[in-house]
Amino acid sequence: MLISLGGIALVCALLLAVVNALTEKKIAKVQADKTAAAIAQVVPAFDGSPVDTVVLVDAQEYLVHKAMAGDSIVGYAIETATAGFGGPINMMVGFSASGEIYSTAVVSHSETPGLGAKITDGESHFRTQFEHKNPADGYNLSVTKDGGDVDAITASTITSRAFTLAVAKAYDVYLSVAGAQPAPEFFEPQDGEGGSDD
Amino acid sequence: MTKLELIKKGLIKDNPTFVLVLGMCPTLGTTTSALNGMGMGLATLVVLTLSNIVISAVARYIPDKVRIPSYIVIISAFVTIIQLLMQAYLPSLYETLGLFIPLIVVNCIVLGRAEAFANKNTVLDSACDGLGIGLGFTLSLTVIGLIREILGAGTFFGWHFLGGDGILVFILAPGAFLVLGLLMALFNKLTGRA
Repeated sequence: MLISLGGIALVCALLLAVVNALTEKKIAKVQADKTAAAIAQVVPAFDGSPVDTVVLVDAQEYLVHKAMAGDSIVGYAIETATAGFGGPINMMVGFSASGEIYSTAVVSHSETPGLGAKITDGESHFRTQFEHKNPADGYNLSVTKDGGDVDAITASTITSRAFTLAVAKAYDVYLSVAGAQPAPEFFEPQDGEGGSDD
Repeated sequence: MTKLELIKKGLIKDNPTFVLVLGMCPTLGTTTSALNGMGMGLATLVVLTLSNIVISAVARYIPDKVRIPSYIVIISAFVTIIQLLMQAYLPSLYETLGLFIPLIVVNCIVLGRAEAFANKNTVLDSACDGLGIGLGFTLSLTVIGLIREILGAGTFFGWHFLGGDGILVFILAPGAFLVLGLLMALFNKLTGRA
């Protein structure tokens, strides 16, 4: 009894070890590719591979990918997560060097299909409304129902709030990473464009 | 029974979804689209066929008392192998099926066929049985998924033939029960069991 069950378990364990060894690298590569694709989607074109740093904001760790072109930083891709309607929403939020939201990408989510799941549609108004907005210019990152500037998805306010919160969190992270660099426009919101070459 | 009859039996007479009514959790959970249903069905088919083969081959060496634990170990080994392979080579399908892949271990179809068929039949017969039941499961899930997808999202295997959103309730959980129930009634009517 012991021998047969033990034998079966042993053979199965060996088999799993072999398959794991064969697929381990490939699985890691698939995940790395996914992250790389999300980064490329949310920041302006960059050279080489992004520089990763871990940032602590409000006692939470965030992974920040700095995209470089030559020696200057062209953008930041920041990984954030918030609680959505059906589970966590994991996102990659991209900022250009001046603090403008460049683009966003949803890495994983479990929102309602047909309703909240519309956050995955990169062409939708909900997603494109964030692009090229700079919270430093007074763009209020909360949904219109809460007095902000973000139009929520119809019938998906909770999801829209969570998405917007994730972008706002990412902006806080951006400020703590890049806070020192894009100086004056933060203090003179009316100044509009320019400003990065002070 | 010939090998072909064994396979055919799983499709109609012993159809796991509409006749045996087994494995309802993945049936209801993964059939939001035809491709998802088909992916789940095929993953189960592979696990079912492989576990049937191995269990029928080793059943006579396993004492009765540790029969069930042994089967579970064999089945979960195959499920984990499928999970790893899927993660490596079909990441997008793995993402949509997610939690339901490891749950194949406790799918009553797999353990049910091991107990009811594989442990008292030859290796080849068990393989045919696994293949037949697996195909029956795959086809049922694909049909349920297709109907839910057409009504709920206006798509056909992912191809958008309709503008707008469709009748959302069919993509959500209640739609799974509705479509399953109606198809079961239709199936019983057609096979003359009702």
